[in-house]
Amino acid sequence: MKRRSRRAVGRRDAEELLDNADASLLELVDNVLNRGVVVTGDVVLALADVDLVYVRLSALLCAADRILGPSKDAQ
Amino acid sequence: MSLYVYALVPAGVEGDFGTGIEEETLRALPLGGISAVIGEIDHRPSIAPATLQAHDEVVRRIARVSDAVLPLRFGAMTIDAGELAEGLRPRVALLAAALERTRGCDQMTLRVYVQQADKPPHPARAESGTDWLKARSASHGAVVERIRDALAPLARAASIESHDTPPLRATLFHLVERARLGEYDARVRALAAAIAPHRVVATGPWPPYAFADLG
Repeated sequence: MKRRSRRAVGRRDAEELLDNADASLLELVDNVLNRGVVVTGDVVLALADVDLVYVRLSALLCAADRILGPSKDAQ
Repeated sequence: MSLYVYALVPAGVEGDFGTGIEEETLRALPLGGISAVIGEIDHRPSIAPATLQAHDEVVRRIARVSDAVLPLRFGAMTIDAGELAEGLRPRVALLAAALERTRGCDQMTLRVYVQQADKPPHPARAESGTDWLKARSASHGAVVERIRDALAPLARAASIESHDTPPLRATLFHLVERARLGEYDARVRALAAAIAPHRVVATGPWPPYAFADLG
């Protein structure tokens, strides 16, 4: 079976996505890109650098809080 | 053509899963004690908002057909069914257990934002400043623990992630039975009022993305 590596183009796509994401999209990104079952071994994972996405997400979710404004109740 | 894998469901689950992110027909591929819901597509999906949303919508549709579901991370593709089976075979028993844990449940996500206090004492009083920082950190940790303890009885499973990006202090993920989501929401709202000026922001319900680990 062939072993394939992650593509750099996916990483650029993820960075661009994070640059333009609002709070709700960030939550979606955190779920579908950072979590879920990962099939290892010889399976292709057609994604960006997930660790990079996770690190940037933490900072951006913090920024999303500033966008949301103060004194907001649980949504 | 390659297989795009959306989610895992219990073996034998049947139903109309609809179509995938490329309008491809979805089907359940048996893999021993579990099944993988797959579609055949001919190119890698782009990491774009519309595509990510489409993936989530497909997973949600699968969750409406199957009472238990384990979402796969976006972009999981294999050459064929044989490669997928090889990749999952060593973990089928663990995946089946994780899958069963999600039965009848959705995921709720809580982001905990802590209020940043006033400036510390004068730098010349370094000891006091250090103590102040330690006390502040302990206080923020206590907020997270309070939320954790208050919601634990309502969750079948829970996990916490700490963050070093103030004011975001922690993220809590809860696996909550659908019948108790209203109760969960009410308790979160009560907590939000109780921990002010700190804040908690809840999103969900989500498919159980954060509970696909095998720990």
